[in-house]
Amino acid sequence: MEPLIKIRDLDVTFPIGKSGFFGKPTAYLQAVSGISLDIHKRETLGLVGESGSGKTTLGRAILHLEKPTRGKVELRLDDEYVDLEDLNTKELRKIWRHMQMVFQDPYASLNPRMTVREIIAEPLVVNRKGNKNDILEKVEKVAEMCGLQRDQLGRYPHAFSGGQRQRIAIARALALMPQFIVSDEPVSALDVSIQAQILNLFKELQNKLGLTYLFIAHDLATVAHVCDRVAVMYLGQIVELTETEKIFYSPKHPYTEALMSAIPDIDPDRKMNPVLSSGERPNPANPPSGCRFHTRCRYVEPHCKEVQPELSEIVEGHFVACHRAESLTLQGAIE
Amino acid sequence: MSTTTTATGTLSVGVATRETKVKRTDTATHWQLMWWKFRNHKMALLGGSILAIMAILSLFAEFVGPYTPQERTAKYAQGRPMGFHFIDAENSFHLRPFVYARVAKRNKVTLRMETTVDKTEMWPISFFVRADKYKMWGLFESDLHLFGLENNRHFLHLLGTDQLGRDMFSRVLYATRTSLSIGAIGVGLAFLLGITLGGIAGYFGGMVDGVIMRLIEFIRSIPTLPLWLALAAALPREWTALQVYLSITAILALIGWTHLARRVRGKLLALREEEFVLAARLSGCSHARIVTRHMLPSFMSYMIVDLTISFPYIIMAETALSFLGLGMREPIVSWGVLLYSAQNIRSMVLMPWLLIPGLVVIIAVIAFNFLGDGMRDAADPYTK
Amino acid sequence: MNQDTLLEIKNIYISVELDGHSLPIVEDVSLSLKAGEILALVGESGCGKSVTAQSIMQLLPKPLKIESGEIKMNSHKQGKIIDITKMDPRGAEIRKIRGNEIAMIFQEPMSSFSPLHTIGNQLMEVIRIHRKASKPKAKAIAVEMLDKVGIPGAARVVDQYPHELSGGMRQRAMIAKALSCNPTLLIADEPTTALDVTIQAQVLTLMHGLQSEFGMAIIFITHDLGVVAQVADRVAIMYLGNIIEQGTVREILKNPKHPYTVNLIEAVPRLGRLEGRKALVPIQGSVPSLYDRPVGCPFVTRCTRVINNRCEEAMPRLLSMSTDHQVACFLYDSTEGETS
Repeated sequence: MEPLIKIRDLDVTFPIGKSGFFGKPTAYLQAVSGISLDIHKRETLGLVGESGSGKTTLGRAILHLEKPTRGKVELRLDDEYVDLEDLNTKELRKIWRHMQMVFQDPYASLNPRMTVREIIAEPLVVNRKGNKNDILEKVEKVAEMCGLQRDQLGRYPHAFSGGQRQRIAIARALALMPQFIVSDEPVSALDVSIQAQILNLFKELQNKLGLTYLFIAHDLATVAHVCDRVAVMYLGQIVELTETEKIFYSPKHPYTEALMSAIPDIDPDRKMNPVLSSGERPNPANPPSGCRFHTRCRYVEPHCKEVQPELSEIVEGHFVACHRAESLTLQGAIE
Repeated sequence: MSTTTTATGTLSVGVATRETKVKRTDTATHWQLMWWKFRNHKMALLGGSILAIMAILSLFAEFVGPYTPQERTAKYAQGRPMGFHFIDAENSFHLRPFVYARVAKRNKVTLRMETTVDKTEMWPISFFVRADKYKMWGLFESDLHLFGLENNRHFLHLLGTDQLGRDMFSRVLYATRTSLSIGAIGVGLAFLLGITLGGIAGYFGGMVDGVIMRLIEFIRSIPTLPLWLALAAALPREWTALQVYLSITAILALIGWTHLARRVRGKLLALREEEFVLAARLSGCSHARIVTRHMLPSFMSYMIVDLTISFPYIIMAETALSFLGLGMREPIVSWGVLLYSAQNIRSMVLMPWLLIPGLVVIIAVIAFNFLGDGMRDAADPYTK
Repeated sequence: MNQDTLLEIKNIYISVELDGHSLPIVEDVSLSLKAGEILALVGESGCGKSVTAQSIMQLLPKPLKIESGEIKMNSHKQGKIIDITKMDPRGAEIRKIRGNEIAMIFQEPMSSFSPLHTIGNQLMEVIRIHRKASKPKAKAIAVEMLDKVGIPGAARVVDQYPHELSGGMRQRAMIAKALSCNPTLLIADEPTTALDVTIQAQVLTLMHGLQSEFGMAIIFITHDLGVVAQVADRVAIMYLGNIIEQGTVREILKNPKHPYTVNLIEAVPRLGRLEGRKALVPIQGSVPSLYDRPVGCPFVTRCTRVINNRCEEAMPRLLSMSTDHQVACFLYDSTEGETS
């Protein structure tokens, strides 16, 4: 089946450390480097990585909220692919009716000076989706779908708890009935008892509306729970990509193994045995040569320090970027 | 409040089952929240009230002041402030306040004219009296004054008179009007410049930002006082008082905008990356809508705080210039102009009441600082 | 107080002054801690776990205040039992305890370092105050401590400034600073929450190792049940200022009794239960604000097993389920109508 979104050789580079009379950058940080990825309709693709891995930047670059420096993103609309690079600002705004985003911090993503009704209505208003009454009706419908009550819509965001704010943010993202939603760590700012509510809401909405998600997270257990496929990122690159079960139970990349071994399990009888006993994440502005993980990898070989491994399909549907992928037997999550 | 024992599974879209009571703050707008927080700040309320009283009194200076600023009472030149009383020398109470009569007599030894207080005669103060003619705001004529003396041979100088016998009380009122309005217009102009240039720099960034920032740094690196002096000295002597007034205001604003522009730029740069601004972009909002609906309201409150705080600087600058004789000139009176005549030691010793305008400046500046303090707290009403 | 008990908190109440109202944020909390034991204090934001810990060091921020109760400590260095609640928060007595017998580490390591001084100078300061060591001796101890917490090149790092270290290394340096006076109790307030999972695992392993080496007791504040399972001996679950269940980690996590604990464990996504990936069972609603604290059991607004006419009326008392498992819930209280 044709993927909904095709990402090819995507690079996002940020200038850092300005100097010179008119502020010329002195160095560049490649937050996302050479990423190719297909996202299929109605799937939830998880994007996992530690801080500085470029996962948020990738999510924003897919929407062209952050302009990629190289590569392209294509969205399938009415059996044709639209290359987002070709669009001007106005056309991009139209494309965003089909692609939306839910942000991490529900305290920062809602304008404190607008009521909930105004917040959810805004995308409908600026896209001229009907007259005032139509819009109000749509707002109430989508708010209800997200578990908000009608009598709460006149309040301002500060009257709501984190979980409810995230419902408002989801309702806003859904107002235009998009096909694709990037959700950037949507539960990591919430209390444990609330996270499950929001995760379930995501699932419910997907079943009801046939949504496709890119689900960005650093919490592997959450990802395991909601995603069909998972991509693991390290220093701006995807190191492993496959179905959730495979990635958790039979990982092929040493970094995935390290991540998995570091999750503290809730069962006290399953003692954690982290494989990365020491070592720090290198500075993303100055990544190591060769395989970017070689400074922390316990299976490192001289070859790894020189040649960068390509992300290749070693088993059907299982992509790994590791020179030793086929010879290593790695430990996955405990079953 | 319901305490149903619903099975958890059926309520997967877990709406709070318990209806929380609607609090007043839930539906309050930003400005309401700010006001609620501001009014808890007693000092700021005090500062605000002082400034409001000053503004209202000086706005109606023609009506409130018993004299026009240039009118002279020759026989009471260099006169002391006249205290008003309710109880006379015989301890009887008068509902109507009065001042004791002043008699001018020639001193037999020094041969100078001297005024003495005559406690046997009282000049009662009347309200809404008809006295000198004036033109309110230069628009309509009247001769009604808030208070004064019925007998036009008597005189009333609550804060004394200057060397030429002009009423200090009236002059302070007129001066307050000039100085506060220079502050207001100056801050307004600075704000317009600051918000435009800072806005352009902050929203577009890159090269434009670089050029504007260098310009600001250049202006800020010039020592202010010599610059004012130079600009003020460049004003043609033959200009009318009004022209001088307007150009002095413009000069002060031209230098005052840099600080505001920097603040606007910084705030915009920060806001550009805020998640709710990104969300607005994704919603399809145009640049204009993002700026007016999302960004401007978010920092308007901060800008108002900055304005309040920069107000006294402009006022002080005007006072300094006029004090040095380079700003306003008679017949326009401002705080600085009034203080200009209190410059020498002799007048300070003989007529300490000429320093009253200085006291007014101090009170106004402190009041502005109190007000600014309270507004800074209120600008972010979401934190406890 | 028992000989091997290190710290005993008895019926402590802490309140906060907000808009002229005094609102309780910790209610009748009692805890006891044996020497060398790791106790986890678990709960969601606003449950009072950090406040309880701060009260142990008399470090409550301004509008908060201990209303009643006592915090007794078996001071090994002073050789007697002391009552911390009786001490002046700014007095000399508590300063002898802070950093010396009780040390604390935080989520944000920069909060315990000044950016203006080198790591070494800041460690040496603590060492010289509490251990009366000479300057060269203190420096030697500082280097030794940095080395113990696994900072490579400790002799070099000792002369570096905090901002020169990465997040994980700063966390280690903070632990070194906390342990440099050999405290008998370490309070760790969400020390790994801001860290990446691989770094978190390293820090947890490190803390475990240091605990067996130094033998100090640890109060570990966290919201992550996984971290609890991996590091703690005992756990106390807090909800809205109350301890609703406590006991050994194995008991509580494998055999939870309180509906909140049961639901919380159910609501956390886990790797081990991937097959089928059934929907999580969330806890409905959200934690009430301080102003809306329900009468009776604090969990009553979200509980699915409310007993009518009981749970809304009074706070259930802590009942012993077994030798080391206590729960505050009417489901297990057969004495009809009686309240404590």
